[in-house]
Amino acid sequence: MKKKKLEQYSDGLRQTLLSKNLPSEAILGDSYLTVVGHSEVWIENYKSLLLYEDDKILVQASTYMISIEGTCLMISHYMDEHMMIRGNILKITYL
Amino acid sequence: MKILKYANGFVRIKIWGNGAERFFVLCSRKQMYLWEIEAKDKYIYANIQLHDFYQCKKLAKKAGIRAVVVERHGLPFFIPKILNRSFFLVGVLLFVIGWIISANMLLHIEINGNYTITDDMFTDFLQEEGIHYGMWIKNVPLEELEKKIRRKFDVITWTSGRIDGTVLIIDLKENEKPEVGPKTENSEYGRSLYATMDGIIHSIYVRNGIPMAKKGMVIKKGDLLVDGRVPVYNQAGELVTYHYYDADADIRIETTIPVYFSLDAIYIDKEYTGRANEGNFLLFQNKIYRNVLPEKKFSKKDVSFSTKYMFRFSNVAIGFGKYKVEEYVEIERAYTQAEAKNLLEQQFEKNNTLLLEKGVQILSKDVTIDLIMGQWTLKGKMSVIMPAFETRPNEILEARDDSKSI
Repeated sequence: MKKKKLEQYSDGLRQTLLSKNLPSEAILGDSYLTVVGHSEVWIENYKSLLLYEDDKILVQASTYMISIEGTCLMISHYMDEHMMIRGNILKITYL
Repeated sequence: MKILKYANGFVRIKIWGNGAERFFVLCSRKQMYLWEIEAKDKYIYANIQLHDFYQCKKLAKKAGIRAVVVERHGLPFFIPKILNRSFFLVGVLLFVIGWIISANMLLHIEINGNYTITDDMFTDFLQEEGIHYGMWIKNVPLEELEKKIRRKFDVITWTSGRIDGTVLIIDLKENEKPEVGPKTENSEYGRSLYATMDGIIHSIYVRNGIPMAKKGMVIKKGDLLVDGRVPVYNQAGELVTYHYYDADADIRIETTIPVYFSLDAIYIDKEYTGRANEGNFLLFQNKIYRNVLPEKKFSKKDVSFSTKYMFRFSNVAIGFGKYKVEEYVEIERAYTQAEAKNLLEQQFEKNNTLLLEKGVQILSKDVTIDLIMGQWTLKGKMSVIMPAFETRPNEILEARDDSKSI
């Protein structure tokens, strides 16, 4: 019940921020994804790495998970604030 | 970034166990940087900085994984290896010393702006002054050298010497209007311009002096063209004195000049006998070293070199290649009319090109080619427009005026 209320509250806040042209990633802690073609993804502002396999990487964001599927996936850089994934990226899903 | 990684040293680790992701998260919380994380079979490989690797042992235990080093990179691993190779170190040290020494030596001399003074003349002068390749750069007396150059060569009006790396660069400026004729005692009384050929004045522009000829005037060799003596009259119109100047003018005269080129009708030609020897040579510092000298038995020979590889560093050339020695005998041959005509015309055209470079304008040519007394000759006349005058000291007509001014 509390979680649902929190989600409703954050949705409303997101709408307000978007209407005011303010960056939601700075206030709500949303992850920032930069995709270069189908070979490179930059993920910033993530919480933790949940799964790393050759064909799937699962990353925990603020209130959701980001799943990156593909082949020959490799984490080129891994730091506290950002990571860069390289490989043949086929699908990016928000869970 | 790459240089920093290399300087600090890094290792590639192999991780296995269930908590690999947790291990990465723990590492990132501790501000450890991981890169090139790659999953292969059941293992995960990652690069980690050396100082982070020592700290991550506890984290690996916490995450329940095993990590082993598979590769080592960077200076902390490279230096101990090098220190064990003493000969290599000595070689590097000698190279660095040689480099430093050669960087402080004069390896090349560049001379710019010399036209009348040849490079050979200048090089001889520099050698006399003790400036040579291989001397220490700090011992090159630049200011003194500039003074000596100006003192030695009168034609040089400006000089500048500078050192650029290991190169001594000497920039010169020669007098564009050199003095004509030797200085005489009378030279202080100025000079006048006289014609050196018969002809017609094509153009005359006087800068200094009194013009004694005008455009279209027929002149003869030795005629006064521009007078360097300027008469000074008093109010009564009487001649008081002369002021003497160096007459200066651009005068072009239309005249005819004779043309004569000759060629012996019989010449010595080479006929190769077919006997030849080949060998290898080495070129080092402008000297050629050959492996064998088999051509001593040939009375007359031609040696040709074909360089396969040439390396030039500053003033030192190193190269190698093949050479061929061919024997020949001399036979007398006679030029055919076509050959003789072709050769003489080539000489004539070369001469015309030189004249054009000197500012001579060719109006017409009238030449014939004949065989006279065993010689092919090209002779005739050319109508040209050219500067044809010389300077001579002024004649002193009265006592020198002390109030002379220029």
